[in-house]
Amino acid sequence: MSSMAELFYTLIILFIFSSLLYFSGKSLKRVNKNPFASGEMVFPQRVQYLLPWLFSLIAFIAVDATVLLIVVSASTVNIVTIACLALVVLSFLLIPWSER
Amino acid sequence: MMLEVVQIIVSLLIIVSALMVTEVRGLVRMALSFSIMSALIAILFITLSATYAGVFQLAIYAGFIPIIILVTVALTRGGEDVGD
Amino acid sequence: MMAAYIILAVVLFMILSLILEWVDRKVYAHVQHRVGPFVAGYHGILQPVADLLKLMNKDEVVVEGSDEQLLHLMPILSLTFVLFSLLFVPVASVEGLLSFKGDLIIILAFSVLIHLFYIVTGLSQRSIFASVGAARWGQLLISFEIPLLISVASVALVANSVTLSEIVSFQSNSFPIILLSPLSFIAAVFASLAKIEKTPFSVPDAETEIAGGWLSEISGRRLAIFRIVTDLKYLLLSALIVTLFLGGPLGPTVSGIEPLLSVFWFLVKLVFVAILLSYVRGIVARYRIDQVIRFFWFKITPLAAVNLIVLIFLRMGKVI
Repeated sequence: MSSMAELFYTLIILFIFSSLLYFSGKSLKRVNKNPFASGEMVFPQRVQYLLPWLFSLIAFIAVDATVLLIVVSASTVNIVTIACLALVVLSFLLIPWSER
Repeated sequence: MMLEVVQIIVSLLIIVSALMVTEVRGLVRMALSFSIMSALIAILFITLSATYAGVFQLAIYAGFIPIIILVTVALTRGGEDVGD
Repeated sequence: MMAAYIILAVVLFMILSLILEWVDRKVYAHVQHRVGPFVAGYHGILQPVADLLKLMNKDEVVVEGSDEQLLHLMPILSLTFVLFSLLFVPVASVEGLLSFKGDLIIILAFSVLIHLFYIVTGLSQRSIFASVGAARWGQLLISFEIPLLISVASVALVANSVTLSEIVSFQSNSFPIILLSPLSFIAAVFASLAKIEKTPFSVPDAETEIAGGWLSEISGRRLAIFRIVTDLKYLLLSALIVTLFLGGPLGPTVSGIEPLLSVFWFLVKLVFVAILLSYVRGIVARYRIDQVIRFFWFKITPLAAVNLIVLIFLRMGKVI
């Protein structure tokens, strides 16, 4: 088991290592006035999205928290875990998949 | 003693980054400073020897919530001045 | 002393990831009846290094109006976190170079943070292609993250722990976990393919539609660093699958040279999983983004969830 200080120290060493690797590259820079480096002009347009999308974002957080709860409480499976799972399945059924 | 000093420093940094969330210009930087604040709170949890709470905080609040914010920003940013 | 070990391990992991990229490209080419890289070194084994050096020596083009400080910071932070999570993987013994109580969740959290950095990279360029690529990263992320977490949860349930060293020692005492969770293994393979944006799920950087996606305005050393990060993620996910499902560095050993044989077995399993990933990448065509979401939410997630629920009932019935 590593201590907290050791992890922090490793993170700093790795940050220094990666910055050295990054800044060892060539740093000559050209600024392009054109908004696209490829030189291609595309008219501004709205990104399309579906309505179920915003629901699925919320469902995602619910599922994620539940599954992480199961991962953390791996040793003690109890009725709470199963109730969480059932609630998540229920929340999936509430997403209006057909609407646009 | 050492642990208390670390906790005080981390708490000050949490306040600074929480202020940054409201003061920084640009939604991308805002989401990033929110992520930094959550990671600092996770460090505070771990130094208070609540390891699983800290890891949970790191996974959900530092990882997923800023991504959700950024995706919502990217999806609902209307016809902006991307051209000239 | 610790610092020397860390730097040594990092350099070795980088060399290994470059070799794995060569394996990936070779397998992908042979599936398509091409020869793949052939010029630099033995059968082109030095080709990834050559690509990397070429990119490091190119000029970088910055589009006016993009957030330059964030574009400097993001490659460095992604490389830092992917290397940090690689150091937890046990290679030479039951325990990795670093280990921590609950380090499996730390690895998962950091891999999500890397995707956060990708999305920030896409959104801080002033280009519509890059913002579309970033939005697609988010959509891809919420489609594959749940099956990955569920498969990891079933492993944690079997091994009764969320620490990698305890999972490996559980497998050394009993059996590889793939025997109890084969469906989770399949889910983990598909989720890993999506996580390294290989072909069936390469929606964020679709060259034919959105000109490279979140990487479209990235050039020079930034592109080089992001390529290394992708290779290291390939290595990390293969190593994670090996550790969680196939027993990691375990295998038949002779007393006296255990660390050497551990590394050997780890590499054999790693190359097997890497070839599996490349092969799946070679034989299927690319999905649209809505097809990817439907595939993961209606096919892969139930597959992993069935396995998890069966394991929960087995655990409640005190069978395992």
